[in-house]
Amino acid sequence: MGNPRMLTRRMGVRSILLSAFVLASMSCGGAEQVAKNDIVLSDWETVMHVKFPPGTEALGLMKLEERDSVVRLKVRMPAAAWPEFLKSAPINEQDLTDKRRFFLGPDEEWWDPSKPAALPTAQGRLENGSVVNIGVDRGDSQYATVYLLWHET
Amino acid sequence: MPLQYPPFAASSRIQDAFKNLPTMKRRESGPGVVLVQTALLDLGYKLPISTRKTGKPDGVYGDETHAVVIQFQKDKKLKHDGIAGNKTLEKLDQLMVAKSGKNPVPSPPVAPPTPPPIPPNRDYKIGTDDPTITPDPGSGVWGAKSAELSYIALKQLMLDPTFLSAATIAIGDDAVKHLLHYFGNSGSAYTIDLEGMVDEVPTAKKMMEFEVDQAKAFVETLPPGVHQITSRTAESSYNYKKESKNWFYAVGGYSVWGKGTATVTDTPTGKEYVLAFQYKFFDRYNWDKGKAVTIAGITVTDAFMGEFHKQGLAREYDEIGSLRRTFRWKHGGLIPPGQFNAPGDRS
Repeated sequence: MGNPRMLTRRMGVRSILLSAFVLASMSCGGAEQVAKNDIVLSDWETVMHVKFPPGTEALGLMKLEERDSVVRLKVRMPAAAWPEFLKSAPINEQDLTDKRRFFLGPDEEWWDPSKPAALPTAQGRLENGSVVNIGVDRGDSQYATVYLLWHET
Repeated sequence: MPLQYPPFAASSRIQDAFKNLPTMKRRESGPGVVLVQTALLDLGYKLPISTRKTGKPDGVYGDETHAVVIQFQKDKKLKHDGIAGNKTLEKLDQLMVAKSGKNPVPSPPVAPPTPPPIPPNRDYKIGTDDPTITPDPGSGVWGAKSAELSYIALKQLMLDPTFLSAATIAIGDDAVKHLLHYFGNSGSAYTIDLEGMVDEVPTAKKMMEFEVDQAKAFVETLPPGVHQITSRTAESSYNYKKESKNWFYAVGGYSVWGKGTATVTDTPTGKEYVLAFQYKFFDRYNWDKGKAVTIAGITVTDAFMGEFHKQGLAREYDEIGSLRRTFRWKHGGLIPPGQFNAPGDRS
C-alpha cells in the first residue's frame, strides 16, 4: 500500500485525465465547416486528384479530422464541363451507379446526397489508403452538381 | 518440350497449367478441364459422374476427376496429388500423341463442348486471390524514439480499469478492445467483430449488401458448374460517428471485398444459384499526425496517440475480419432477405 497522500494525489490526476478523455470523446464534434467564400478549390485538387473546370463554384466544404479524416466538398459546374472533369478524376465512368450513392454517407446540413433523384457515384482509390467518392447530379440541364467525399481508411 | 497433342497445344488453359501457372485442380471448371477429362477417357479411365448428364465430360474438376487424375499419376509413377500440372500434362500429352499416331486413320480430336464465354465483369472475376490493399502509412516507425517517462505513466493510466470502464461507456466496447490491442504492443493482426459492425452501422450493412449484389450479378453470368469467384478490387467505406461512435473509434474508414464458391445448376425451371460467400474486411489501426480535437481546452490529438507507437509503447496493427453467408436464389429472382442475417439470427 502506498502513502495515502500520494494515493489521493494519484487518484486526483487520474480523475482529471479520465474526465478529460471522457469529455473529449463524448462531446467533440471535430467537424470544421469552411465558409463558402473561404473555399479555395485549387487547394483540394491535389487531395482529391481532380481538376475543376473553369466556372466551378464551391457550394460547401466540411472537414472532419479525427480517427480517419473525412472531407466533404460539394461543387457546381457547367453541365458541359462534366465530361472534362470526369476525365481528370480517378474514377472510371463505367463504375458510376446510383447503387453507390450510399458511399457518400449520411446527409448533414448542405451535404445532402440523399436528395437528388439520381446520383451516380463511383470510388477512386488514392495513395496511402485514402479514397475519393464522386457522385454527380445531372438533373439540371445547365449545371452538374458534384459531390466529392474523400476519406482515409 | 512443348505440348504436341493438338487439342492441348491449342488450349491456353492447358498451356498455362503445363507451366504450372497455375496448375489445374479441384474446383476449377471450364474447357481446359474438359480436355483433361477427354484425354483420360480416351486412355480408358472412367468418369461416370462427370459424364452422366450428357455423356460428355462436364468440365468440372470435381472429386471424381481429382481421384482419376490420382489414379493416372499412380499408374504412370508420377507424384500422385490429383493436380494436373507440368508432369501430369506432359505424360497425358505423350500418351495422347502416341495414341493418335497408332491410329491408321487419325480420328479427329473430340471437340469439347465449349461453355459460353464468361462476359467481362468490372467487379468480380474467376479466381481465389485477394485484391491488393495499400494501407494508410500511420504514424511512422514503431519504437523510433525512446520511451518517455510521461508517456509510460500515461499508458499506465489509460490501462487502468476505472479509465477503461469509463471509456467503454464513452466510446464503446469495441473501440476500447481495439485500443487495448494497440496498447498490447504486439503489432499482431486483430480479428474484429465484423458481424457486430454490420449489425450496428447502417452504412456497413449497406456495404455488405452492395458487395453481395455485385457477386450475385457476376454469378448469374456463369455457366453451369462450380466456380471460385473473387472481387477484382476492394472498395472502402466509413463508419460515421453519427451512425456509431463505437465503430467510428474502433475502425473509421476501412476496405472490404468478397469471394466465394458459386454453384450454378440448370434445372427444368431455369438456373439456380448457390453462393458460399465470404465478406472480407481490412483496415490498419493507426494514428497519423495532424489531427486534433479540442474541447473546453482539452486536446486529444492523433499525434498524441501515435506517439505511443513511435516510442514503442503501443503498436499499430492490421484489423482483419470476415463473415460467411450462403445465398440461394433462382435466375431472375432476389436473394431472400433472411439469408443476409447472421447464422442463428431469425429476425
